[in-house]
Amino acid sequence: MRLRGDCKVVSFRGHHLLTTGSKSLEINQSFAEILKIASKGSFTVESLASELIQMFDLEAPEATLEASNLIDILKNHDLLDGND
Amino acid sequence: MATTDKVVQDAFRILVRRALKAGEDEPFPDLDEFQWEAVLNLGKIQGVTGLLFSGANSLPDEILVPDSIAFRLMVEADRIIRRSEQVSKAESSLINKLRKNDFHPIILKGPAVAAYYPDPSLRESGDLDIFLPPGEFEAAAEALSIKDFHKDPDGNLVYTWEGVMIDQHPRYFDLHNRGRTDLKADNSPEAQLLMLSLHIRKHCMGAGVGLRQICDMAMAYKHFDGNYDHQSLLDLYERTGCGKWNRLLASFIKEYLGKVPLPYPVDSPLPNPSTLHSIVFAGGSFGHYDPSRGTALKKGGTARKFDSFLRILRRVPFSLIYAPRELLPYMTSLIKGNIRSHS
Repeated sequence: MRLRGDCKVVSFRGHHLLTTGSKSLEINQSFAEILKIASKGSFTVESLASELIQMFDLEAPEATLEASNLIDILKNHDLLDGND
Repeated sequence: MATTDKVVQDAFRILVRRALKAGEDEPFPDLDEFQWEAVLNLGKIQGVTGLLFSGANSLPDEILVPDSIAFRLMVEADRIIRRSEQVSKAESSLINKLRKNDFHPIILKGPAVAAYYPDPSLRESGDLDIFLPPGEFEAAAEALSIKDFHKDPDGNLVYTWEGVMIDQHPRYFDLHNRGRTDLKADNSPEAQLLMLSLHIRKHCMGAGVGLRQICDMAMAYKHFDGNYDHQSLLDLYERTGCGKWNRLLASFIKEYLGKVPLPYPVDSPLPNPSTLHSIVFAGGSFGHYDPSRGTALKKGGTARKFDSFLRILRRVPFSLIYAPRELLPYMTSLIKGNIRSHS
């Protein structure tokens, strides 16, 4: 899966806004950093979990759960393009 | 109230300067939410909201920006960035298509000047202005298979390309009286600086001009500094009858926008910029925020044209001082253009 092409993150003094032009979602610093990686190309729960392990020094099960949650949020807000 | 106004004006100016990297060491005043709202409103009027976003983002951490203002700025920045991308995409496809058909377009003003800003995507984009030499002007619309277009009173061909309004100009310089000059539209630094300054002057002679256009000029001066001969440019200004105007413009840039490299010697006296200050802050971008202009624009048609005519008349004293050789040819050309667009 990949992030929708029209998704952008606008950051301003510690605030982060995920936008598509027609809607926006306030996100935290960690989510903004993960989205920066996700926006580079396609990703899976596993690849995102692996990034989380590197970025936040998480244990594998916790990272997988977090990655899954993040992807669910993106899916629920219709911010993903396709699944692979 | 006067004090509040001054604080708001100061804050606005400091944010614009910070965004342009023309003054980053000035102390920023404490603002309450109401004053921040007023700063944002000024940004909208002057077409520089993207610069306010950038300027406020660069403030020291101890300066607090209310959450409501932060979110408005982020939403506006997002809108501006998306619009810049749309204009930029339309620009590439239009220019490619014209070049493939052996035309020689030159991008004028906005999109070309955006590249001179510290963050080009935060310069607010409007229409896309292009210039085509006289021999190519009419044929280009045909080559583009444009069916829906019209000529405005200024002689520009106006049409839409990929959702962006295109203003196709028959002249590179907003100079109607060219009898005594041999100007080349070669897009050199000198030509671009002259073109930008004449464009601002033209708007000052009519509807008005916003700070965004003045920032364009300042950024062009900054970008080209070291790549053109100052004296040659000043000679060119004199030769084209806009020496006095450019001294006024430079004076405004120096006083309002701060550290911008200008072509004038440091010890050269520049006039008081108040005349230009009052035009910029009267109605903002193209005078659209002057209440009477707003009403005329809403009514459209004859009301808009009559309002434009009144504005030109009101600015005759300015034009007689800063564009004496241009006033009559400009008005004649507009009258002819209006007759043409009605026929």
